[in-house]
Amino acid sequence: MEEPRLFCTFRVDDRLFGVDILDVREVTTETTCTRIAHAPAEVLGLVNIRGHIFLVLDLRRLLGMPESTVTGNSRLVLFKPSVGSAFGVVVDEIADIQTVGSDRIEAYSRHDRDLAVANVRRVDLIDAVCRLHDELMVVLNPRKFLPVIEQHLAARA
Amino acid sequence: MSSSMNDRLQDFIVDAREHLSTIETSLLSLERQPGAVEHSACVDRCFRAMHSIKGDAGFLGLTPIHTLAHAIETLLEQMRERAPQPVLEAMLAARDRLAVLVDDVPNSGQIDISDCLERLQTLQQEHSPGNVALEFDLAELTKHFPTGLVSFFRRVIGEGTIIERQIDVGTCQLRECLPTGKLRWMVLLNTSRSRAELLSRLGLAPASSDDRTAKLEINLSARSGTMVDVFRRLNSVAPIASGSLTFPATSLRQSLPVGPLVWNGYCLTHLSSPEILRQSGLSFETPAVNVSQPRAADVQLPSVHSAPSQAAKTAAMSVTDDPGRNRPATTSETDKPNTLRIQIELLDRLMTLVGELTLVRNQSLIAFAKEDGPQRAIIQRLNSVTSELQDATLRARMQPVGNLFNKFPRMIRDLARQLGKQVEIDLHGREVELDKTILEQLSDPLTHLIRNSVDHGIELPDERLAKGKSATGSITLIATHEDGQVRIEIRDDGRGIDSEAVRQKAISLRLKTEAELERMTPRELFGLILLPGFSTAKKVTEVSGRGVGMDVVKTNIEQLEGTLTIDSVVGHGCSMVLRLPLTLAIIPCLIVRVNGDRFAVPQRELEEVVCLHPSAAGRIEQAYDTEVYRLRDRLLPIVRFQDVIDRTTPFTAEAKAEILTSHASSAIPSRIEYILVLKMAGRRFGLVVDEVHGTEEVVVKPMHPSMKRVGIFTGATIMGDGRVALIADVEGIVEHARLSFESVLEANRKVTQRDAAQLQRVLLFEYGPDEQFALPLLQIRRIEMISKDRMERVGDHEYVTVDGVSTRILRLDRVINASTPTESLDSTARMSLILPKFVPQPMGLLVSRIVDTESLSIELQAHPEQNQSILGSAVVRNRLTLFLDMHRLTRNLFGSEMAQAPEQVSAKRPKRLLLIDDTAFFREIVKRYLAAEGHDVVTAIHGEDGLAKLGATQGFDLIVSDIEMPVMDGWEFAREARRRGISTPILALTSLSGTHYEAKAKDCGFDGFEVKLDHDRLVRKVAQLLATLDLST
Repeated sequence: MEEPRLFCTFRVDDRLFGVDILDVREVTTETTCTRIAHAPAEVLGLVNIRGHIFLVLDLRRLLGMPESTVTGNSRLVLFKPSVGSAFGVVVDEIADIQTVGSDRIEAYSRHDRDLAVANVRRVDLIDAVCRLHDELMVVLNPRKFLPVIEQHLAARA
Repeated sequence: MSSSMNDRLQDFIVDAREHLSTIETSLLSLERQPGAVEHSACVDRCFRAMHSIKGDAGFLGLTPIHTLAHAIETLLEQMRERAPQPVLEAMLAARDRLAVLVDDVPNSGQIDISDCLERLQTLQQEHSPGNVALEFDLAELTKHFPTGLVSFFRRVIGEGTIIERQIDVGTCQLRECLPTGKLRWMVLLNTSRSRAELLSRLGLAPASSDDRTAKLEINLSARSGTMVDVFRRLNSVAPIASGSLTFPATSLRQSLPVGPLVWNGYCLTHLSSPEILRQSGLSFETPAVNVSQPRAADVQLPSVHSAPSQAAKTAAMSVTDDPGRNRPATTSETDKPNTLRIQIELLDRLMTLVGELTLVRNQSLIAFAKEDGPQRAIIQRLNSVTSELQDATLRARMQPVGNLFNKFPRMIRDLARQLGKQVEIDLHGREVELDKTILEQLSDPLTHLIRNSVDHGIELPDERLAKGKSATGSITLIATHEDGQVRIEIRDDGRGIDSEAVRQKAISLRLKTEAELERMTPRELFGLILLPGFSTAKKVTEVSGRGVGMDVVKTNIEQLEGTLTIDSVVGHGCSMVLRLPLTLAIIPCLIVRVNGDRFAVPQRELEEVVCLHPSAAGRIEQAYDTEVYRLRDRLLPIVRFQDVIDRTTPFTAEAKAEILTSHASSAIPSRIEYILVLKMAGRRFGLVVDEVHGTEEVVVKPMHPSMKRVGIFTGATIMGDGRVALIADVEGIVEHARLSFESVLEANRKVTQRDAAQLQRVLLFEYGPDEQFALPLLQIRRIEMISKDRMERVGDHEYVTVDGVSTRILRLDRVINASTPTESLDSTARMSLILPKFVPQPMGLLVSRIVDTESLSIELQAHPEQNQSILGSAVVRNRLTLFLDMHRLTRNLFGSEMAQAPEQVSAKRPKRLLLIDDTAFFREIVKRYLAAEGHDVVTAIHGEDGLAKLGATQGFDLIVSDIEMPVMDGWEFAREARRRGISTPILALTSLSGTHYEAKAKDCGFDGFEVKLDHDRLVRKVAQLLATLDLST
């Protein structure tokens, strides 16, 4: 059997999402951002994490889910430089770390009605899905996050 | 390749690059023919460096590098005593090839080095031991060989192979006779024999050739006294063996040469050259080094200069007035061991950590600010240590400009050769430090500027001599600190920039009109060459002159937050001055707030900040598609930061219109705003922000790569409270707002015209705290300060005695719906009393505060609270201002007590009146006066408009006209009306007064002359004129 994969999981709009833990740099409670005028709506702003400035994206907006405000449970998931330069996403609530055998990870297909993730409009950001014992975890590909923002900016020009 | 191997390779490359640069510097020093001690020092340094490269390359198995290094090393071995030019040339070329190999180590095996090796080998053979350099005086030799020199030459050939030879002839014309004096033949002979042996075999006593000679160079034009005197003195110390004169190429038959006259010669002596000069009293009272000062010329070709034997046999000292020439060029090479190489990443990380520490410091400062315990001392120490640490870390990023400067001597040398020019470079201030990033980015623009100087600036040697300059041009690079910036000057003594050529070019390119060029300072004019496509070079060379480049230079320098200015004197040279900030990492910024968000605006672009306080002068107006602010009589285009933030796409014409409308309708007069007056590329504009928080030195962090397209910010910074603030990109904001400077310029012109005609001066004042009022200055006699205890109450009325006259006091809140002033309890509190003109009885308007006087040209708007005493309202200085009708106020005050005299004369039937006045405000007042009398009033804005109205509508009974108006004034209007046969009475209503004007009015055809704003007189006069009209019909 192949090595099991570890996922950092979190909730957005009551649905469980996960990203590969190897892509995550840290999870922080710091969510006070400075707005960037002219940035696309998905961008919440810039945040200072110990002297480094990170770009903060709103995962809800990024996935095309209903909007909501940052709450006390909100966390900022920062990614490693290999994922994209200095950025992170705000999630509603952080969940456990899940260890999943690779045999339980299924490629996501938008035609698969059974696996449809109703409230996610940007299905292209979904890498795979994974059936945990009680619910479905949607595995996201954070490498696709920044390009979405860049495309939005480019389209405006 | 294993990682340790890779590391080693990286180390090798870094080291090798350093060695290569040492080698280059040393070779260039050798080229300058240094003294024996320094020569051998240079060779040694070169040798050591090359040996290290060779050793490391051998160890790492980099065969091509090893082979080439070995070949160079071998040749170097032979240069221990002398370095002939061809050898140096080849060495430099080989070094360059080696640099190519080092730069691309992985592919170094594929690079062809055979040609280079071959050349080195050939030279090595030529200069192998056994080569003897000899120098003979052929004139002298003929005495030894009466049979002719052919036999002598034959003997020489018999002794070995001749590698190099040269004949040096004294001053004479070969066409006319054989040269007199010394005829020096220098030869490099490959032979197995020693020098002494050779000489004896050639039949010459060794001593005969070893006669010591000293080479001298004297600038004759630089000294007083006759030439004869100079030579006599010289000859008495050391017999002159030979000599030649150099002077600019002019025809001697026509005139004497202008410019330096230099004598080069040899003396037979054992003394050294400076000694000769000292003893003969010719030792130099050296004139101060001055770039434009012609230098003693050294016109010898380099190959002659480096004739191998010369250095050995004659004290070849060139006594010129250039102190830098023989200075050892080794200062920068020897002080290296004090430094340590650090990875950039580590340094950047250090910077970040220090930034963070600063933050912690700031937070603790806030936390302990109120306590006075023992912590305070600790915090203060933390504070100072942090500041110093920050300072030191920043300095770690600094590098001496010498690192950059050092590459120029080689570049200039190669370039000069390529162009057939002689150029010397002088470097000053190598130790001045600049931020690493700036230094890296400075390389390209500086290279370009220097190339330009060599190519366009420095002339060809002939041309220089003809102009009376030394054949060798000079380029000086000077780095200094100046006002917290680094100033780098590139100065050359070349032909300079012809301002006339720049002017012509600017006209031909239609960049500027002649009138504009007339008004430009030379510096501004030279600044034009930095525009794209602007080159005054007559021909395009390989090096420069295509008209591209200077604009790129300018852009590059501006990106570094620097400036470039050019000064030049035609024929004497050119000086280009770069001013750069020490570091880009920290810049002073003004912290502002817009809609609750903080922003940093770089202070470099900031000229001043204007506070738009409601009570202060000035307000934002609208001109065409842009808002403007009148700053000291110039219109400043305005951009509101809020609008820029709100609109994500660059402003379109529609967007601009929308913005204008929204501001026009939603102006809040009491709002305090700030205008940052920003300057960019010579144009100024105002950026409106809500709050200004003061200045701060901020650490610039680049914008997130994904946000680069957001053009209105250049980066971000972390503020003292740990939050991020964005740094505004002033240029980006202007670009985004599509700010049109042109339309404002246009408006500037128009507004000044309009001003001349329509401005009226009003007095702004307050009574209650809520409103601002205005009265035309024309209606005010003067303002009197009164204290409350001087007021007396008689029944319902208040009086005060002014100039011995009992004056009735008018309180605005009694007659109109105005706020009541907050009464001061102090009875001695002083208040102002406005004493108006044209009132039937003495009265004064009580005001709590005089704001200011203001020149206005505005349209009054009907005041919503339609009160008879208020003419209308307008926004003045961001405050709603009520314009008072003095006449009505007076009426309200005195009420029925007044005699209603004018009304009694009023006409039987309504009359039609034409009122001509260019000032909207006065037009409104007078119209009201006349309308109140029951007349039907038609208005016109100037004489011509009046004539048109007269033509269109018939049956005016009376014309009331202002005198001073644009387009057509009152005088002209009256004349024209009379000329057209219009007999309607015309009344002149003007602020001009005097019998002179009254007479002129009569001449022009006016029937009456009244002073503006005296209600009663006007009404009476109008009635009178109308009555006469009624009588006559």
